[in-house]
Amino acid sequence: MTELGNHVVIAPILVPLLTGTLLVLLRGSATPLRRTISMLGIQLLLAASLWLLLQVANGDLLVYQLGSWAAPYGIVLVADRLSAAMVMVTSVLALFAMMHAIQGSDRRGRQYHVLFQFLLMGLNGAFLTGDLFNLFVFFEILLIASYGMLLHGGGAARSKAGLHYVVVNLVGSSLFLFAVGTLYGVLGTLNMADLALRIAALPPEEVGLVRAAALLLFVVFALKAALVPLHLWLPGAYSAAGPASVALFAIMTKVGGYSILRVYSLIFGAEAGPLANLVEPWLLVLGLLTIVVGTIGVLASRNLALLVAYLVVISSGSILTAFGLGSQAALSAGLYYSFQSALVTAALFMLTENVARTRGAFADQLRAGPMLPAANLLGGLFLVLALAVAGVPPLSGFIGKVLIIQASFDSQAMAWIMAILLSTSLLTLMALARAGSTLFFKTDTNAGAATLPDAANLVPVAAVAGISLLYVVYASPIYSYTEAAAAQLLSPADYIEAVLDGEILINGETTPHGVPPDSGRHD
Amino acid sequence: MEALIALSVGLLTACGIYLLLRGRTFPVVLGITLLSYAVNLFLFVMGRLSIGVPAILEPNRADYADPLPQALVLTAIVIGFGMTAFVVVLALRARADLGNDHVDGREP
Amino acid sequence: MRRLAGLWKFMPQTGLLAMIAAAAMAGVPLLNGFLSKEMFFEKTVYMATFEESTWLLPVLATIAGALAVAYSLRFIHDVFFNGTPTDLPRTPHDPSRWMLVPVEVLVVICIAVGILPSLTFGPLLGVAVGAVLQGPAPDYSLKVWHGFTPALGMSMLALAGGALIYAIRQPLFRWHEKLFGRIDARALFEGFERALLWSSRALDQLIHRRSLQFMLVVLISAALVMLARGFWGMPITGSATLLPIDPVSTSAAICLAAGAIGTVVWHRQRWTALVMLSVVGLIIALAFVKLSAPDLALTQLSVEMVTIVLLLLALHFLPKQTPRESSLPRKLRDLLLALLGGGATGLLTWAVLTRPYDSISGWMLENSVPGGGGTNVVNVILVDFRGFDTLGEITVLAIAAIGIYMMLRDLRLDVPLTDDQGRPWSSDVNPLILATFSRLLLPLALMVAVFIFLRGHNLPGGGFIAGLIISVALVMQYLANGIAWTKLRLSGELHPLIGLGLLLATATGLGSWYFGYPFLTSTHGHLHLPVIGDLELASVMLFDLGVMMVVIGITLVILIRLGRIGLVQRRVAIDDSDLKR
Repeated sequence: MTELGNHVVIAPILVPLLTGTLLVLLRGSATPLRRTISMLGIQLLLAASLWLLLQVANGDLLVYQLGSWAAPYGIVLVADRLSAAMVMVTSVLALFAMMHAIQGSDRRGRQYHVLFQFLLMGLNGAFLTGDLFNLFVFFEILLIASYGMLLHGGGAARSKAGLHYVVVNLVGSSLFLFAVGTLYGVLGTLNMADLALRIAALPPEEVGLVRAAALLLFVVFALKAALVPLHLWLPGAYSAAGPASVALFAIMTKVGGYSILRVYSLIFGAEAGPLANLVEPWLLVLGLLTIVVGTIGVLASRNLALLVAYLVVISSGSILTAFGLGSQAALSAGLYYSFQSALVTAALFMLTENVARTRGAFADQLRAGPMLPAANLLGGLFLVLALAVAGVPPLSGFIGKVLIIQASFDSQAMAWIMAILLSTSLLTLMALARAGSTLFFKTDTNAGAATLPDAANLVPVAAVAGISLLYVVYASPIYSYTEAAAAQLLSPADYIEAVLDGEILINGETTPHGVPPDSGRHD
Repeated sequence: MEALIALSVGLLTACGIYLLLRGRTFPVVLGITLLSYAVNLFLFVMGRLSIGVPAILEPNRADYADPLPQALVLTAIVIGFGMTAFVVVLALRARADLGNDHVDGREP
Repeated sequence: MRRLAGLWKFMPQTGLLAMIAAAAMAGVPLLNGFLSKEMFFEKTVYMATFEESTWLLPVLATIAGALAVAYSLRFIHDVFFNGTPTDLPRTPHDPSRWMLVPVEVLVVICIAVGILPSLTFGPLLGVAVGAVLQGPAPDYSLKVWHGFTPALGMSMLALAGGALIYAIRQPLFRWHEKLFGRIDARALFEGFERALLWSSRALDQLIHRRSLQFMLVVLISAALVMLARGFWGMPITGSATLLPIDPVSTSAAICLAAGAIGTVVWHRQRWTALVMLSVVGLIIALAFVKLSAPDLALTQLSVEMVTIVLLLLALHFLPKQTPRESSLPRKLRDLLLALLGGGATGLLTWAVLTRPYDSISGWMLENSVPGGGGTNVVNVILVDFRGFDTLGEITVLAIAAIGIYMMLRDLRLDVPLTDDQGRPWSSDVNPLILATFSRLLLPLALMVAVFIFLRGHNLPGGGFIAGLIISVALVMQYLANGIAWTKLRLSGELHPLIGLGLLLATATGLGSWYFGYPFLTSTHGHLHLPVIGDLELASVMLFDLGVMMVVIGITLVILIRLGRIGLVQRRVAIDDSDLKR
C-alpha cells in the first residue's frame, strides 16, 4: 500500500474520467443526483489541482510513469509550474461553469454532465502529458467531448456550426498525425523530452524534414488557438454553442497556446540549433494580426455572444503575441494575461445567457429591446467585465496588457505592439460601450416586457468578476508565479533530465530508468 | 516499393482533399475517410517497410517490423472510426435541422 | 461657473478651503501638490538627461503644470471674486459645520504633508511603494527644499506661465471659438463611430465568411505553406537502401488508385462512390497483410466493414446523388489544391522512407515477453507499454457513442419510400434462410470472438477486433430476424455496457495502486486451460475486456439506433399510405 500522494499527477485526469463513467452508468437517473455527482467530481478535481499546484510551486517537476514504464518507452505525465497552473485554472473555470449550468441550462439536452466531465479529462490530459502521441489522443478526447457540448441543446444554428467545427478539426487531426508520424519516422521516438534530445543532435540533412513536421504541428496548434487565419471556425462555433458549454470552451483556445509554448520551448527550444526560434516570428506577426481581425469582428458583431466570441479571438492574439516575443518577461506576461482572459471571457459568456433570457425574443441581439428591470445589476456586471476585458485601468486586462507592452521594450516590434494593443483596446472599449448602452439602457416601447433575472443565476458571473478583481489585488504574487513558470519553461534541461533520468519511487525503493521494476513484477 | 507507397499516400491525400472541398456532406465524409486512409498508411510506413518478416516474436530471430507505428495506427484507426461515425450522424442531423445536405446549410 | 461669481462675500470659510486646495493642485510651495509635482518634474529631467529622445518630456510637463495653475486660478477667481453673482435662485451661504469638516481635514493634510513631508507621509509611502514594486523602494527624498534644481525652476516657470495664461484668457477663448466653435464634438464622434461600424462590417464580411469550403481552403493552404517553408532548400531523397517493387504490389497499387480516383469521379453517384471507397479500404487492409502487420489488417478490415454499413445506412436518409454545382474555376482551384496536397504528403512519405532511422521500438521487442508477458508486441504496446493511449482511445469511442445517441434522439428524417429510380423499398421482412442461418452463426461468431480475444496477447487479435466481430454478429441478428425478435432477446440499452467497459479498464489501471505501482502497471502469470492450451494470463486482459465492451457498445449504439430510425419510421409511413388508400 502506498500513499495516494504519489498519484496526485494523474488525479486531474482520473477524477473526471471516473465521474464521467459513473454518470454514463447512471443514465436516466434523476437530475439532482446527476448534478450532485458532477459537482462533487469538480470539487474533488479542484482539491486535486490545488494539491498538485502546491507540490510544484517550489519548482519541483513531478514525473508519473504510467504502467511503471520509464520514458521514452512508456508514456509519462509531467507536472511543472505551467501545467499545474493550467489544470488549476481549468478546474476553477469548471466550477463556475458548472454552477452556471445547474441553474437549468444543463437540462436543455441530455448528457451535458457526461460530456462536461470528459472534456475536463481531455483538457487536463493535454496539459499534463509528456508524450506527443498521447497529446494527440487527449486532443481527440477534448475535441469529441466539445463536439457533443457544442451540439448540446440542438437546433439548426448548432448543427451548422457543429458541422463546420467538426470537419475543420478532423482535418486538423489528420495534420497532427502527419506531423507526429514524420517526427517518429525521422527521430524514432515520441516522448517530448527524448525528441528534444534527439533534435539537439540532429544531422544537418534531416533538418528540412523535422522543420517541415514542426511547422505542420504549428498549424495544428494554431488552429486550436484560433490564430489568424485559422480562427475562422471560432466565431460561429462559440456563438452557436450554449453558454453553459461555451463557458468551458474559453479555456480550449488556451490548450492550443499551451501546446505551442510547451512544444516550441521544449522540443524546439534554444538547444535545437537551426530549429530554434522556429515559430516565434510567425507568432508575433500573426498574433498582432489576430488582435486586429478580432477587433474588426467585435466592432461588427450584431449580437453579444458573437461579440464575446471575437473577444476570445483578441485575447488569443494577445497571448500568442506575447509568446512570440519569447523572453521570460513576455512569456510570464502572456501567461498572466491568459489566465485572466479565460476567466473574464467565460463570465461574459455566462452573463450573455442571463441577458438573453431576460430579454425574451430579443435575446442577445444588439438592438433596443424591452426595458430591463435589473438593468443596473446586469449592466454593472457587464461594466466590470467589459472594462477588465478591454484593458481599462485598474482591472486585470489592463495589467496583462501593460505587462505585455513592458515585455516588448527591448524588441524591434515594440512600436507595433504598443500601437496595436492600445488602439484595439480603445476600439474594443467603444464597441463594448455601444453594446452595453444598447442592451441595458436603450428601450423600444413596443418590445414588450423583460423578465427579472434570477439572482442565483448571476452568482457565478459575480463570483468570476470578483475573482478578476482579486487577480488585480494579488497581481504581484501571481506574476511572480508566472515568471517562475516562464523561467522553468526556458530552461528545458531540467525537464528533460527529470523525465529521462528520473528514478521512480515505488514503495520507497528506487529503480533505475529504462528497466521495469522487475521482469515479472508483482505476480 | 517505397515509391509505390509514397505515390499511394499522395494519391489518397489528393482524392481526399478534392472531396473535402465539395459542397455536400456526403462527399465530405468520403473525403475524410480517404484522408484518414492516407494518414493511416503514412503513419504505418513511418516504421519503414518490411515484407515477409514475422509479426509475432519467435525465438532466435531479430528482424521484425517496427511494432510501435502499428500500435499507433491501430489507435488512430479506432479514433478515426469514432470520429467518422460522429460526423456521419451529424450530417444526418444537419440535414434534418437545415432541410438540405449542403455543408453551409443553404442551397446555393 | 458662468453664473457663479463673487461668492467670497457669502461663503468665506468655503472659499478659504477651496483656495488652499486649488493652490495645492496648482503646485504652490509648502503644499502637497508642490511636492508631487516637483518629484514628477525631476523625473522628466532625469529621463531627458538619460536619453536624448525624451527632451520633450520636461517641456510638456511644464506646460501641463502651467495649465493646471491656470485652471486653478480660474476656479478661484471666477467663483469667489470677479464681481457679484447674477440671477442665483437663492442667496448662497456657507454649508453647515459638519459638511465642512471632511474638507477641513483634507486641507489640513495637504498643508501638513506640504510642510513636513517626511514626517507625515514618508512611512505610508514606503509601505505602498514596497507593495507595488515587490522590493525596496528606489532612492527618493521627501523634502520641501532641494536647493536650486531644474525642477524648482520648472515649478516657478509653471506658476508664472499659469498666471500669464489666465491673464490673457479672453483672447484665448476667442481664438478657440473661432477655430473650433462650429465643430460639434458629439456629432463628430458619432460620425466617426458610424464610419468605423460601417467599415468594420464591410471588412468582417470579407474576412469572416461562414463557409466550410473557405475554412478548409485556408487550413489546407496554411499547411502547404508551412510544409514548403520547412522543406525549402533541403534535400528530399535520403540514402537508405530501398525494397524492390514486385508485380503483386504494383497491381494492388493500381487497384487502390482506381478505387480512389473512382470515388472522386463518381462521387455524384453516391452508391457507386461507396463501392469504390470500400475497394480502397480493402486494398489498404491487404497492404497491411503484405507489410507484415496482421493486427492492423484485421482491424482495418473489421472497421471497414462497420464503416461501410454505417455509410450505407446514412445514405438511406440522404439524397442519392450530388447536384452539379461547382463552377469550373472552383473545380480547378480544388484540383490544384488537391494535387499540391497529395504531392506534399507523397514527398513527405518518400523523404522519410528513403532515410535510415533508429527507434525506441527495439526496446519494446526485447521487453515484450519479459516485461509485458506477450509475444504479440503490437498488442503488448497497446494494452501495456502504451495502455494509456488505449484508455484514451476507448474514452473517445464512449464519448462518440454518447454524442451520437444524443444527436439521434428526436431525429426527424424524411424516410424515402422508393429508391432514386422510383422503385419502392421492399417491406418484406427477414428472409427465412438468412434468419435461420444467422441464428446458427451467432454462437459460432461468439466463439471466434472469444478465441481472438484470448489469443490477442500472443497472436494477432485482441479486444478491439473481438468486439467488432461480436458486434457484427449481433447486428446480423437485427438484419436477419428483425427488430422485434431481437429486441426481445437483446435490450437496446447499451450505455451500461459502455460505462462498465470504461469502468473495467480504468479499474484495472487503478488496481495497481493497491500494490503501490503507478496507474496501469500490469502483471501476468501462467494458466493452463484445456483446448486453448498454455495461456499467459495477464492483468491487461481485464483491460482488454473493457476495451471489447466499449467497442461492442458503440458499434451497436450506432448501427441499431440508426437502423431502427429508418425501420420504425418506414413502417409508420407505409401504414399511413395504406390508410389513405
